[in-house]
Amino acid sequence: MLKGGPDRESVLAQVRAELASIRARRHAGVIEIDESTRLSELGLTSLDLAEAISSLESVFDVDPFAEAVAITSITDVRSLCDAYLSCLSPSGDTGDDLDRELRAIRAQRGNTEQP
Amino acid sequence: MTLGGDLAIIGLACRFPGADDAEAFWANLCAGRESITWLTDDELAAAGVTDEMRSRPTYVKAAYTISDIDRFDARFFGISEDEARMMDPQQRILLELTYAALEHAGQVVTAQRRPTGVFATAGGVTTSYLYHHAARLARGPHGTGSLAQIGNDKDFLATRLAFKLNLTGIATSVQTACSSSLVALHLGRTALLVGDIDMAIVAASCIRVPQRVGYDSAENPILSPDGHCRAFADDAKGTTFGSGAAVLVLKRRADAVRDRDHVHALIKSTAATNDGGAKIGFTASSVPGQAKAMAHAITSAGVSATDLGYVECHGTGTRIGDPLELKALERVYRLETDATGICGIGSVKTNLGHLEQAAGLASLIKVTLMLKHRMLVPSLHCARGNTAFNFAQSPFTVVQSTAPWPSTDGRDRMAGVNSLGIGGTNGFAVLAEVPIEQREDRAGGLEVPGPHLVCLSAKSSDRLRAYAGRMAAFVDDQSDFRVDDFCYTVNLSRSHHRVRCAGVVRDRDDLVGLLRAASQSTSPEPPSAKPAVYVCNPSSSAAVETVDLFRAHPRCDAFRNRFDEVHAWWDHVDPTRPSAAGDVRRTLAFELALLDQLAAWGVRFVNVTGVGLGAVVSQLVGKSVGDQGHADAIAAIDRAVALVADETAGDAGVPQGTASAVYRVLPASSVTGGDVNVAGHMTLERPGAPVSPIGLLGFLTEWLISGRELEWTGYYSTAPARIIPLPTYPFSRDRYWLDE
Repeated sequence: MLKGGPDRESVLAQVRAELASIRARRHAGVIEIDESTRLSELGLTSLDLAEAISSLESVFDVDPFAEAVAITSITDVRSLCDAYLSCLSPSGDTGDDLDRELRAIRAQRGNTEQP
Repeated sequence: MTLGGDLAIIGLACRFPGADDAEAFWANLCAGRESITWLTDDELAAAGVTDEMRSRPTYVKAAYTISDIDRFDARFFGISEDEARMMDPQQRILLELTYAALEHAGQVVTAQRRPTGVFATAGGVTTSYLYHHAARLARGPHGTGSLAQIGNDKDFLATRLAFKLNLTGIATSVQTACSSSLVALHLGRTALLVGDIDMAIVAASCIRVPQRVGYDSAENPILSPDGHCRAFADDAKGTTFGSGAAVLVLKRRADAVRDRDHVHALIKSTAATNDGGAKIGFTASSVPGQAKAMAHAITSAGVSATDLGYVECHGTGTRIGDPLELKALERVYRLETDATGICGIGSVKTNLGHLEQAAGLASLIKVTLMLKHRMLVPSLHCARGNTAFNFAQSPFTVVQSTAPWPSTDGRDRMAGVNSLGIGGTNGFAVLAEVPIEQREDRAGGLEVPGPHLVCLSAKSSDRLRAYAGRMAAFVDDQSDFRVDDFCYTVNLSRSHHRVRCAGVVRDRDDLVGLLRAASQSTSPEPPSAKPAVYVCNPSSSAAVETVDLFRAHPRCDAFRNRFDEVHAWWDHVDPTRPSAAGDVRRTLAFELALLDQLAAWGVRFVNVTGVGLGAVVSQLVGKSVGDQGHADAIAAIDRAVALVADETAGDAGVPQGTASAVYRVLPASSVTGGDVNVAGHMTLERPGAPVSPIGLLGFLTEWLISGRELEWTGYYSTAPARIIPLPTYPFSRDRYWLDE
């Protein structure tokens, strides 16, 4: 389990290591994994990803996908790191882009045309 | 920018597991019935499931099936045996259901006269008729334009409907996997609101071939290990796929009100989004994508999320998918309220399984029926909610039982329908009940007094018997029933075929008697109708009372106008002339007006002849009073002093063998005694019964039974009644299948 304060580089390192480990067990070749790498590029099944998340939960002792984050919104290594960081050091700022988008949609009600 | 504007659901039809029609579907929903079929080993073996497959511990011997997918009334739609056998059952069943939905809406005829769009979706390729019979079909022609292609490719689903039902708006197939129905609805709604079409057919047909087979739940983690779909439940383990088909008929609400249509529910809005790439994988769902679809829909409807008392969810019963769907919907609610337990939710997949492309229409029809009946019905198998979603702190509660749907502060009941598709296209619709004042407006109004003319028809004697029987049972079962509405709906809105029963009915008992007799009739099918010649041979002057009867009758506008016009013109005639006599003037005006009224009702003659005064009438038919013909008539009438028909000339001008005669008065020499009947001929007036608007109904009955047509729009141009939902055509169940 990771001790000490949250650190983006260390979270990234753990995530990269876990994903590389699973690829190795699947006898997939070595590839460069960085924050911009999309999960779909890694050639892992949904079960593999579930296994990775389970391992990372043990490492970080947090499960961001229980309540806070929708697993389906994770598209790349960066968003996976962000999910753990949001639990390890919640900033109090929901920064919730979705809420902002939904409010903008709802604000269109004055522009609805009635033929 | 969003388009606002309500639509009216004016007709619907469906075939779902356990329900061949909407009435059976509603009964199942109220009973909390799960329409699952458990399959025996013998059935599975017959369907080609191997012993090895059946014996797997993960093999589920269950399916959600509909009846008779190999049966079709090909003759009704003018489709040959070969073509019917090659045709995907999804196309065939959708033809029958769309026709039934148009009958239910009272729009079979009207849909052909205005631009009517078709937005249709079919089930997947890998569970299709084509896929199952690929080897067989590939041995024959299967290229572009072949029966194999046209009968099975998705391109032809909507266009087949448009061709066979003569619908001239846009006809297009819509495919977005499990959200296809909602997207088809969204496109149909958009086309209505921009004015491209005046009516929309939204149709879905997902029929799996083979149907009566189970599945191995180990093949896909989304599959239920026991056949049950436990949407929202903590023990949800997956879904089961099934077959079903359904159709909605839609109009702009203002048009439905103008046309006095029966409205089942309103569609306030629809919206569709795609998740885009911001998700874990192509087949994953997306909270933002779903939430935005709902937000767009309620914005377009001009309502708040809290106005929705119920949401019919996609609810597939997967442990991860259900909470994500609820979280997405909750995001929209939480923009405006922290309230808990304010919205019921459910999933019809717990009753029917997952009908894939037809799933959205199953949800829409469930909600339509709930709004129509103002009842909530239970979502099954959810004793304990999924603990991955905090129900207690959410706006949602799973509906557990059938109960009246309470209105919030007296406002109209509203509901949402959510639909998601693999590939990321999401749909959301907002529906509402018909407002109480619109229901009351339509319910009001006096019943049009009888007697009433009614004509029911079918393609064959056998189908007419079944149709009449179906109608008789329906009429007998109704507590709140108006004969005028029934006759109006059947006459005006149903297609007219060659084999008919027709009659004049005064009340419900008369009507049931007529229908029951027709349901047991063994009369031979009629020959084709010959052209009709009218012989105008009035035997006496038109009585003042008779003229007054016609002028006062609500269906005789044309008579009144023509009589007044001709009679008034007579003021110019020298009063000393024999033709100026009051009875002559009245009779000539009467006979011309009578013919005009028959023409307004669509009674058309290939020729009009006459004797005596009738000969003068025949020369003036269709001519305006200003025409020289009228001036010439005065001299002719002066000469023809005898106004009584010449008996021996009763058949003057009637070609033998090629036409039927319609006599103004039955020639005396042809009376056979007892019932007046001249074989192959008809008469407007019978001995002892002077012609009258009521008496003409008997003539119109004979006219219809002989296979001729009336212009029902003209007949009902005054004193219309209301279109009401009635039983639909009983298609025959002939078998067409590519057998091994």
